This record gives sequence, C-alpha cells and structure tokens, in this order.
Amino acid sequence: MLLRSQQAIAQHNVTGTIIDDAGDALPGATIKVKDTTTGTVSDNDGTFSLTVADKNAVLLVFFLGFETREIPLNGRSAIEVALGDDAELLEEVVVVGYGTARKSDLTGSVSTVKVEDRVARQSNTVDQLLHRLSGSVDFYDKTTKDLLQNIPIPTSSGFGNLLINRGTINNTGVELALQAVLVDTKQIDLSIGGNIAFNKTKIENLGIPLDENLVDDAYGQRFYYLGATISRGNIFIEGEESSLFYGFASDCIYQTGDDLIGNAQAGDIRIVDQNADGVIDNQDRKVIGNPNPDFIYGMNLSLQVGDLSVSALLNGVYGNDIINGNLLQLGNVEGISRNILPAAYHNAWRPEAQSNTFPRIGYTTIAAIAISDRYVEDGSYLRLANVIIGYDLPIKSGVFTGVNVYVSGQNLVTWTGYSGYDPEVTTFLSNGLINGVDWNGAPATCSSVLILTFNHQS
Amino acid sequence: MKPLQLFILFLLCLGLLTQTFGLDENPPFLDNSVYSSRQSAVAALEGIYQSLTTYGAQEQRLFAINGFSGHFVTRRNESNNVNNVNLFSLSPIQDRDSGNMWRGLYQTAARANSAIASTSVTDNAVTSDELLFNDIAGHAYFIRAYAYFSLVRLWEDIPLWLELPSSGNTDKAKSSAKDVYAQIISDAQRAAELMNGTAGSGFPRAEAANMLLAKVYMTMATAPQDLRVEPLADAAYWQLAYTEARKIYGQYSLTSDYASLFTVASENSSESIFELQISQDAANSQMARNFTPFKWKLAQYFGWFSIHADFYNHHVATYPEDPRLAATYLYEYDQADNGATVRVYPANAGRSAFGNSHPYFFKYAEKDRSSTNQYGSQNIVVYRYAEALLMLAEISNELQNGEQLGYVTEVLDRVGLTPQAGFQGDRAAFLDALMDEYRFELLGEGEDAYGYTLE
Repeated sequence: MLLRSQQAIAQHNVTGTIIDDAGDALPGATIKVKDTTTGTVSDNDGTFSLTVADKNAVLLVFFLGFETREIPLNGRSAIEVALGDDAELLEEVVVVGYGTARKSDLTGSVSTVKVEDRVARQSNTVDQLLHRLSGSVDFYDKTTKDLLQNIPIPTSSGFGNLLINRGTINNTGVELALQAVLVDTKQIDLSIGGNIAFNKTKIENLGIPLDENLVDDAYGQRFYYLGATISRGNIFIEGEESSLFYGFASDCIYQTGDDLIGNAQAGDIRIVDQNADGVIDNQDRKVIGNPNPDFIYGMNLSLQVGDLSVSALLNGVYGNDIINGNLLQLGNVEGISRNILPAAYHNAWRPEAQSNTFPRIGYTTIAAIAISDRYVEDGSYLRLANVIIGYDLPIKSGVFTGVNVYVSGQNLVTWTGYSGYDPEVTTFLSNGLINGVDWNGAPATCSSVLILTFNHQS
Repeated sequence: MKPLQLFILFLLCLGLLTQTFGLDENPPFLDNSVYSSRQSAVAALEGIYQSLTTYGAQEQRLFAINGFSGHFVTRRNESNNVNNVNLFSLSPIQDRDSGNMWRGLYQTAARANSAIASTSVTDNAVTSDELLFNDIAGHAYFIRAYAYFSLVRLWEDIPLWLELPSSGNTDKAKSSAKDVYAQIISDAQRAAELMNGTAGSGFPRAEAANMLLAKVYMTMATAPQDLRVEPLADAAYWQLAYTEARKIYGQYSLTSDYASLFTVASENSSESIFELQISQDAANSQMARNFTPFKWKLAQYFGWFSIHADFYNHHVATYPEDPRLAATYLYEYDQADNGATVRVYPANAGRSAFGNSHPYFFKYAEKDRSSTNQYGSQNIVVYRYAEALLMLAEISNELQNGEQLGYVTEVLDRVGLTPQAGFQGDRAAFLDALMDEYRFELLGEGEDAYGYTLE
C-alpha cells in the first residue's frame, strides 16, 4: 500500500548515467531520492531511470569505494554523475575484506556445497569518532551448523565416501580498524592506521560417537575426529578450537643409562609415556599445539612531504603454532640419501658426546605413529609486506623536465622466531583437515623494484 | 501491483520462508526420479549390469575363484600379478584383488538397492510401463542376490546392505551367513516372480533367478545345519533345487559348437542364461590381456592364467578325443609378432621351466590374433545351459530319481562323447564323475569351483 500511494503522486521522470573518474560506466551504483525510500540501481551501462515526486528533489548517488554525491535535480530530467575514489572508504573495505578472508580460513575445515544455516548477531560500526580519526569495530558471533562433510564410509555400503550434514562450529570475534591523519598541511600529509582481528573458533558438535582421548593431561570420553594422516596431526575435538595439534610430548633425549621405554635406545628422542604403561602407543598422544592465532594484525603508513611520498604496509600473526615438518627430515640424521642440517650431524647425540640438541645418527621418525611436540614451533611473525617510496627530483631546467624515482619492495623483512623458511604456511591449504603444517612449503618471495622516469620535452 | 513490486514482495516472502525453514535444496537427480521415466530407468538398469562388468567386480571374481580352485597356476616373480599370487596361495593378508572384488560386488549391490527402493512394482502388470518397471525391479533383486551369493560364499558373515547409506546410516555390523542366505533366497524368489523379459536381448530372464535359487538350495543341502535358512533335511533342499532347476530345462539349448561359446561372434547364444555384455570400446574389459597367452596377439598380453598340467593330463586321460580340449587349453602356437613357435606343456614335454610347464587357459584369450587393442569385446557368460544340465544331473543323483544320466548325456552329446565309466556306477561314483564333468565343461568360468572346493 505504501508503494502504491507513492506511485500515485509520482510525476517527474529522471534518467541518467553514473560514471567513474575515468569516464567508465558504473553498473550497480545506488541512486536514492534524499529523505525518501525511493531509489534504484544503475544497470550494466551505468544508466538508470527514476520517477520522483518533486522535480527539485536531491538525489544521493553512492557506490562502494567511491565518494557519495548529492545531486540537486533543479528541474533537470537527464543527468550525468561522476563518482571519484574515496580513500577513506576504500581503506575500510580493505580492513573488512581481510577479516573476512581470515574467517573463511578458520572455517576452511569444512567444504561447503549445500547452503548452510548461519546465524549472525550484532554488528556495530563506529565511524568518524573524530574528524581526523576514522575506524570501525566489528563484532561477530557466527554459528555454522549442518556442516557439509565428505566422510569415508565402509565400501560395503557400495560407496567410498558420503556427503553428509553433520556438526556445528562457532566463530566469535572482534575486528578493529583505526586510521588517523596525524598531519595534514600543504607540505606534509601523514597518516597511519592499523587493524587487528581476534577470532575464536569453537567446535560445538561433531556428530560422532564418544571416544577416549587425552586432552589437557586428563583422559576422558570426548567426541573427536582426527584429521588427514599426512601430519598425523590435527585433531578436532568437541568444545575445543579447530584442528589442534595432537601427538606425543617429548622430553629431551635418552642418555646412556636412562631407563628406556619400548624399543627406544640411547640417543633417541624421549617420548613421554603419558599413561605410564611402559609402551609408547596411540594412547600417549595429547594436544601439543594450536595452529589458531590469538590475533592477526596489520599496520600501514602513508607519508607525503613535498615531492617525496612513502607508504608501508605491515602484517602479522600472533600466538599460533606451526608444525615444522621439514625438520622431520632435515633435523634427524636418519640415513645417507637425504639432505640434513649441518648442525643435526655435527651436534648429533653421540655416546662420547651426549647432548640434548639433536638425536643420535640413525634416528628416524619414519613410520612413527604420531608427530612429537619437538617439531611444534611458535609461528608468530610480523612482516613488512610492502614499502613504496616515490620522489620527484626538483629539476626545473636542463635536458629533462622531470625525473621521478620510484622504489618498491615486497616482503622485505620478517620478524619471527620460526625456524622454517616462512611462518606464513602455504602447504595443505586445499585440505581443511591439515592446518598449520609446514611441509616443504615455498617461502614468500622477497622482491624489490626500482623505476627511474625521465621526462624530456623537445 | 506492478511486476517489479510483485517480484520484491515475492523475494521478501521467500526470504521469510528461508529464514524460518532454512535453505533446503531438492537435488534434481534423486534415485526415485531416475526410476520414474522409461528412458532413465532402462539406463539405470544397464548401469546395474555395467557395475558387474567393471574390472573390480566379475573380472576380479574370476581371479579369486580360479585362484582358489586349485586347477590354475600363475607365475611367481612378476611384479604385475603379485596379488594373483596372494590369491593362488590363499594368502591371509589383505590383497588388492580381493579388496577390489569386495568393493566391486558391493557397488553392484548398492545400485540394485537403489533400484529396489525406487522402482514401483505393480501386481498383475498389464501396461508396457508396468511390465517394464516390474522387470527392472526383478533384475535389481536378481543382481543383488547374485552379488551377495558371490560374497557370502567367499566371506561367510558379511555386512548386509539393503538400502543406500545415509547420514544416520553409514556403518553396518556383519550379518550372519545364514541371514545373508535368507535374504538371497528372498531376493531370488522375488526376481523370479518379477522378471518378465521386457528388457529383451542380452539381459537374463526369470530362469536366471531360478538357476541362482537352485544353486542356493544346492548349497543349503550340503551346508552344515547352522547355515541352513530352514531346518530342512538334505533331501528337502535337493527337492527345492530340483523344482527350480527344472524351470530352466528345455527353455534353452546347447550350441552345436562348444568352442564358439568363447567368441565374439556367438555372443548371447541359445545356451546363454546370464551374460555380461562387453565391448572393448565401452567396457575396458581387461580379460583380453589378462587371459591372453604370451605373444598370442599383437597388443598387450599378460597370460596370467595357466592350467595345472596334472589337470590337463586328467582331462586328456578321461576324454582323449574331447573337442573341449582345444577350446580350453593352448600350448603350441606361433608368436603374433615374429612367428617364432611357443611351446608349453604338453607340446613342451621337457618342462624345463615354470613358464613352459603348464598349458595356457584359452577360453577368455583374445581370439583375434591381429588385435592391436589391449581390451577385448568377448562377453562374459556367467550362467549357461550346460551348467544347468549338470546341476540337474547332480540334483537328480542326490534324489536318485533316475534322470541323472540323461542330463549328462545331453551335455556330452554336443561334443560327441560317451559318458565316462563313472557315470554308470553308484551314486558316489556318479558324483565323482560329475565333479570332473563340471570342470571339463566349465573350467575357469567362475562357477565350476563350487560343489567341490569351497563348501
């Protein structure tokens, strides 16, 4: 009824085109009559058509990433509106996009084919607290139920696996972004910004039977699912975070004369016999690490002083563990055909030079039933992801009318305690059941570019 | 209301509905929609039989049965057939061939389960649609019975899946062999009622289900009491078997040329009761390389199966003039590539090495020696009339109804032979001679091993 009554008094038709700075059509821009609910969206050619009640109405034109413009019609029936980039808006989009990517990472342990039921609550945005300060705060509490899982089933069913809806996980978190313009004068522009995101994933329900396992040093009946075997590695336990590391706790190296468990010999890694039954078996596994970070964060800087411009971008992760799978081979002097770390050989445990650094020559973890915490490392890092410096040399005469120097660098510095190539783990990304396991992953490339531009006017 | 407003209203309503009930999707290819139209139902029926023709199902089954039979030998030191060696040696370890067969036969049973769950059966069918769907359901029951009969004879207690797995139904405990046999009997009886020949040429008819039932009853008659579905005496089960087997009698006829049974030209002959349709282009049947002797054809040959020389000697000693010898054994031929002569026992009497000490099994070898295709097109005949006649002879001998020699004579007439002396003897002597006859007639075809090997 509301729509009808508006329709009844509408008289004035307006058509128009929405373009960007470059003159290209902007499809999908929203055109709204100010202070009303009337509006439309530009089509594929950037054009729109709208019926307004008042021929002097004011149109609001907005599009994500562009400034919002107010256009008084002043009786016109055809208009063209050019939207310019809005730096502030773009920044905000980057922040939110980053957070979103991270959430999907964390829920990546489930493939999604069927539409899942999601319940999202509470999202607040705080904008423009101060004139020079902008930012956003996002809270979320997302529950995903009926996870789609491709589970292996006995071949006597006639099939090897089956897609079923099973399990519930919950993601809660907060994402903060802040951008501050510190200096804004004719000579100097300086702005800095930062973002930080905290996310907690909790497995609420797995939909599988109870079984006994060891968590937090206590045996108990828990619902749990072990991830893919390559890492012998990630465990999914109800009530816990996703894909925890599950394996043996280790305690130095057996020295000559120590009490040995099972087939161990002096110089081997001492695996803790959790249940003290004199045998190292699956029952001795416990949670030995957590690949989920406490938070992820980023910082940016933008400086413009006269003809000099500098921008930098840092990002980082804090509080996560990584299984350094490379050390399984590099850190154990297990044979003659594989590369090893020099230190692993030179500092290997020897009967005449007993130590706790590296196991004996000949020690191997091949065919071990679980990974040990010896290979679990802190994966926190901060990385200078991007730096750009541009400078217009103050040359006003001579052969060249202008000289510009442009230098950019990617991944120039990484601060981390992780001993592998790259704490930004890139292996097994396609497998949601293996998380935080570094297995001969290719490190991020570090690159830098220098561009000199000479302008010559003849 | 204008269309746009209607559309918005529709979207709002849809949003409310989905918010309330969640977004449930209806996949368009549910099993029951497959079995609702003639065309897709026939395609699905072909899919059930196709499942049996895969390498994992019937072909691996032939490996297993022939390996277990004790009448075949295979080479030891070839990396390619290490799994066959496992089967031949009754190795208790898990091996790939038996794992494949397990999966293949269960996959076949699962496809039948789908058809059984989704096909609507009409009592007293009249219309062509009713007849077709009844027939399809009958085939599904028959194939499920065949798959489980094959499985239970090899493994005894096994999981008995009669429906497709689902979210709440992903694991199943083993059922007792007795329960599995009960299901097989029930399925085969239903199949015999429902199969009406609508599927046409190349598909088995109701008699195939009768033959399967006769085999199950023969198994019951010789099984220990705790395996018997009904606590019947031997004779009662023999009688049940007789009733079923007699339904086949006279419905088929033996082909005149025994050797032609194992050629592409004589596919789906008057003797064929249950035959799997193979085409080298569609089925990728590996029979024609696995069973083709060394350099007998130009394309790939593996020659995995040789028949033990002792068995060959026994066959020749019993029927020296038997035309079945040439169709079953191969021992002297020129290589397809360079014409050099290959001689194995008996052509090579010296028997200097394992490889030349036993004749090759020839029935499933590629008959086109110039073939350049590793795959073959020869159908796999699972049940044929000659076997039904020999079953009738065995049943009649147990019942001592006087018909037994007649059936044997029919089988031997085709190859111009007189029944050997044992058939003139008492019940035990007749049975011994008949066990020989199963092997001479059916060696390597997948069913000959039963009755004397795996009880």
